[in-house]
Amino acid sequence: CESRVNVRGNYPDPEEVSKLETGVSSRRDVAELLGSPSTLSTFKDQVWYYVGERVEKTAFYDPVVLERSILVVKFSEDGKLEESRQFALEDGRIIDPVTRITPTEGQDLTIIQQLLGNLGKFTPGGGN
Amino acid sequence: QALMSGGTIDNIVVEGTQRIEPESVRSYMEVNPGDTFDPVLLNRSLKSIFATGLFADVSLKRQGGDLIVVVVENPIINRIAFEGNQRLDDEILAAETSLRERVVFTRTKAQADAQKLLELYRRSGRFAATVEPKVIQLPQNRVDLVFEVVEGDRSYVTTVNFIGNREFSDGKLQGVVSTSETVFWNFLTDSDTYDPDRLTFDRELLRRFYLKEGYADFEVQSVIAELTSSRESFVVTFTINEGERYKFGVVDVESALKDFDPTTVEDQILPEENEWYNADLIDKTVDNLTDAVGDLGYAFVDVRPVPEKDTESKVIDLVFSISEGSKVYVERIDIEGNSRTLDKVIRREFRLVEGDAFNSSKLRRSRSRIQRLGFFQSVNVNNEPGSTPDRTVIKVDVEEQSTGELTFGAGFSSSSGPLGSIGIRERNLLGKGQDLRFNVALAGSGSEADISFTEPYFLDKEIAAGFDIFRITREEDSLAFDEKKTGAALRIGYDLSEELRQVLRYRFEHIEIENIDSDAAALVKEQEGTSIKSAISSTLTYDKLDSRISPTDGYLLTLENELAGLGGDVQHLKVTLGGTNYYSFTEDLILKTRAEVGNIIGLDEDTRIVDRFFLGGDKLRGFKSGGVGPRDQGSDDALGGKHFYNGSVELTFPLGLPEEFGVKGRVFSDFGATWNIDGNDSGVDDSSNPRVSFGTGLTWSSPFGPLAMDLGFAALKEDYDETEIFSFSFGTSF
Amino acid sequence: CSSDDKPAYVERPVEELYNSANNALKAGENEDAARLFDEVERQHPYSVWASKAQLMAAFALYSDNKYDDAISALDRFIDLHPGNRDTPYAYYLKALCYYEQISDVGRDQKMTRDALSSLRDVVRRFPDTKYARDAQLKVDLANDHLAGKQMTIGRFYLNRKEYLAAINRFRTVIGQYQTTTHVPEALHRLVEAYLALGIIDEAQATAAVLGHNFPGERWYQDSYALLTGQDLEPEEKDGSWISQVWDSIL
Repeated sequence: CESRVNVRGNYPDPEEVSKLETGVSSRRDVAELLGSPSTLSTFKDQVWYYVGERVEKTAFYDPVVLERSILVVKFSEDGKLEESRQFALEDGRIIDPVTRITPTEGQDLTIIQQLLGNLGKFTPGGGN
Repeated sequence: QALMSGGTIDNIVVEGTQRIEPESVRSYMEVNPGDTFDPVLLNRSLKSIFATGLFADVSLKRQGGDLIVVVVENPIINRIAFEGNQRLDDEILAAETSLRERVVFTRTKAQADAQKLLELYRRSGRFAATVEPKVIQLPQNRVDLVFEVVEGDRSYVTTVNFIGNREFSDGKLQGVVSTSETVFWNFLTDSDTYDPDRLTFDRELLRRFYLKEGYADFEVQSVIAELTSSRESFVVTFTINEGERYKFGVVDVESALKDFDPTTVEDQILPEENEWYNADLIDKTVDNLTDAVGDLGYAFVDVRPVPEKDTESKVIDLVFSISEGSKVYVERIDIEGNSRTLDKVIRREFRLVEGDAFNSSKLRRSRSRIQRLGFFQSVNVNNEPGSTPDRTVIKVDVEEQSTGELTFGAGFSSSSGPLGSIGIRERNLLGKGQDLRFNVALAGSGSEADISFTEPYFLDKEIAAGFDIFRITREEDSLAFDEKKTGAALRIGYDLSEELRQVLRYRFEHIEIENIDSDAAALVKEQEGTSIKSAISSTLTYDKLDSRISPTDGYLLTLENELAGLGGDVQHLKVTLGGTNYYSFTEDLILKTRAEVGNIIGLDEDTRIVDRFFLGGDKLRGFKSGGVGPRDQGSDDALGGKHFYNGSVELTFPLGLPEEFGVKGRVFSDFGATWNIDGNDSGVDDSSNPRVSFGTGLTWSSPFGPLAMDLGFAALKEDYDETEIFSFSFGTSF
Repeated sequence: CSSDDKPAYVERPVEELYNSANNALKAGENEDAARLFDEVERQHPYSVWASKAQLMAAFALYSDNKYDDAISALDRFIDLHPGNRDTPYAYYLKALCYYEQISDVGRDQKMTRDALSSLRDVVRRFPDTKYARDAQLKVDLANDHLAGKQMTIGRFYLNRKEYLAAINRFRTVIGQYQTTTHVPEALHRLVEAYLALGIIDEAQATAAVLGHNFPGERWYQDSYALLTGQDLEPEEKDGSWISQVWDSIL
């Protein structure tokens, strides 16, 4: 059966990445080359992340990640590129998200309430 | 009037207020006691008091150090009434006006409301209507507001003319546009009322039709709607210039993408050389190319068709140029308007994920997938600038519609007699996209009651899982026994590809065969009593039809195999293979060919009559339902065959009546046979010779429901087969 | 003017009308109370009772859960009497009308946003009234609700292994909703997502912040366990098949 390959996120072109020069490229240069970062570091403000994946989807099966590239771009205090590192699919860990969630209120429809709600509404010609 | 500048304001005195407290007036002013008399500030205070709309007149005076604000309050509306309106009742008109009872009355608002009511009447096709607001003064500065309405009657479109159409007849083009001429019996439709928006839509319909038929130069020069002297009806005239019909010349693809060989995607190009020009094929190709190139990992793809028109030879060369689209990423997808449907039910249909590269064809496909859910009246998807120039926020605004259905059905057919049904269904249960349905149907030949539930994304995968609980009784006179089936089924269904879908089912049935005719065949009598059937089945469908509701092109293949015998008293393997093909010579001349083969074998046990194949009725017109197949000589009871083949060739054609009648004629030939039984077959007529029938009939999709009538003549038959010439079915649900 | 279906237009003295309206309200017949209060205002627009009646009509509609009508009645009152001593209550009642229609986090949060803006209105305009204190409490609850919506979408992407999308959603919670009850979970989810992508130092930094600010939270224990390798290398645990099915149906 048919399978389709999709690109997820921002998959920076290796050729562009090679143009980065440590100590020279500023934040603006990096953004011009690779576009704005996929996400920033949550607690360290000089770190940019570019996250991209190639994913294969076959029929109803879960998508399979073929390859993943995570480019970490670290800037020094004076706003110049200090260091850039690359992660790949193998570095990823398999995690099983905790199923517990923080509760929130808010009223919800009950089955009966919704079904009876239809009694009032006639839909002409809704048959086969 | 003392000079309004210089000196300080001792205090501000408000005169003329009746209902509104003086402090309220002061709160709108920009000057306070102690400020200086500053004309600019005073002017601005005057404007802001007036802007509240609460006052008919405001003026400022000065007495020494006092600033005197003289106001005349706007009256309060006591009651609003509508006179002279029959077609649109008070509630509809009241909902349209902004003024309400006990609100402040201003002349400008009254005029604006009158204009809104006029617009309402225009939209429902009454262009001769007039609306006059009248004010009745009441004591204590109150007024009654009365809208005097003269509706005039509906302005119909009596004739739709076309000027400049050489290639296609007026009748044909009338079928293309949505505005239709008014005809006496067509009281259900309102497409014959005059509506300017519909005319602009018609202009687009005509353009798309001609571009599809190859007229690349087509243009609508003018659309004029003249009001007849009696001011009741309109004559609509489309003046068009068809231009020449073009063919496709050289069709090629070129690419500006880095290290990408365009020939790899050449197979996606639909238009072929010297085939008639067709705009739809071009749009479809753009989509195919965008997908194909996207698949190869190019996130930003922009496919643009570049036509080159040669007017002498009437040929259009076409180059699909693939270039890199602007690098934009999806920052966020915001979904609004879903007050009942859960966010994830919409979000899971999206082909884009937050953070992905923006791709317009994926966005379009996501929109049509959300539309296909059928939960929304409208789905608007557009993108707005994100926090940086190369990011965009996708805004999805849905307008929900009632997804509950309450249907009553009534009908009649020669094979199963009178039919009545009631159904209640919720397609978006609790906003989770789940489908819950109760159906009860009673007919002359039996009854059916079932409950069915489906979860479209089982385990968050694109697998539709569900269960059914049913009770089916069959009391057909052509069968010598009554059958009662009660049971439940579990099912899962999934797509293996764009066209190929599989549904797996486990079915548990408790079957009772009872009140068998006294003179029934011995074989039939053996079947009496109750039994349990526990079976798994798989249904594979390969669907290449152009539309599921009214197909005119393409084919559908189905393979069904059922293995009964996981416990229970019934052990058999039943396989049926079927195919239907539609071919349309012209838009309404359609040839439908159908063929089916089936086989059932008992697994170390005889197959039962109930499970075997019967032919006749609508599958083999000209023969009674169950009229073909092995038959017991003594009792004339049909025993059902273990093998069968069956097919039909049917041509539907228009009867020359105008299209809105919806009446179509057809000629057909059905053929088939079913033979071979289990158990002692002495005294049983059985033959595998083909039975063939010819016939004609007509179908009418009347405003009350679909109706079909057929006359079938059994040309080739066995003498013991039971024939039936006339068959009729009429079914409606409302 | 012909208005056959409306009850007869009977002129009644204002006190009598007002009292019958009040009695209807006390007896719980909110619909009649609203109609009678309207009559007070219609027949005696300039009496001192008129503005009070307008407010009481809105209250009757509110207790009858006719939120939209109540809101338009309150808007009319605020327009006519911006300086009235009951105006703070009018703003507060309007905020309640939105607040009670807040739907659960899986659905559109338009009502929550409207409630939030009108609650903030109350706090800003009338800071030292008892309405402001209650409104402030409800502002925090409404914010908590909006954060809950972000979390639902974040978890949606996390469960589908779309880690980048999930990370950005959880970062929005930490960035814009620091005071809500969802922050600990958002931090833990970030640890999960960063680990899934293999960015270990980011995961550790986030867990450190979680531990520092919410040491007692169970979420920190989850992160701690995840990081210290007790299940740093878990195979793809499917969890019990039944529980997974159960979750996806209900």
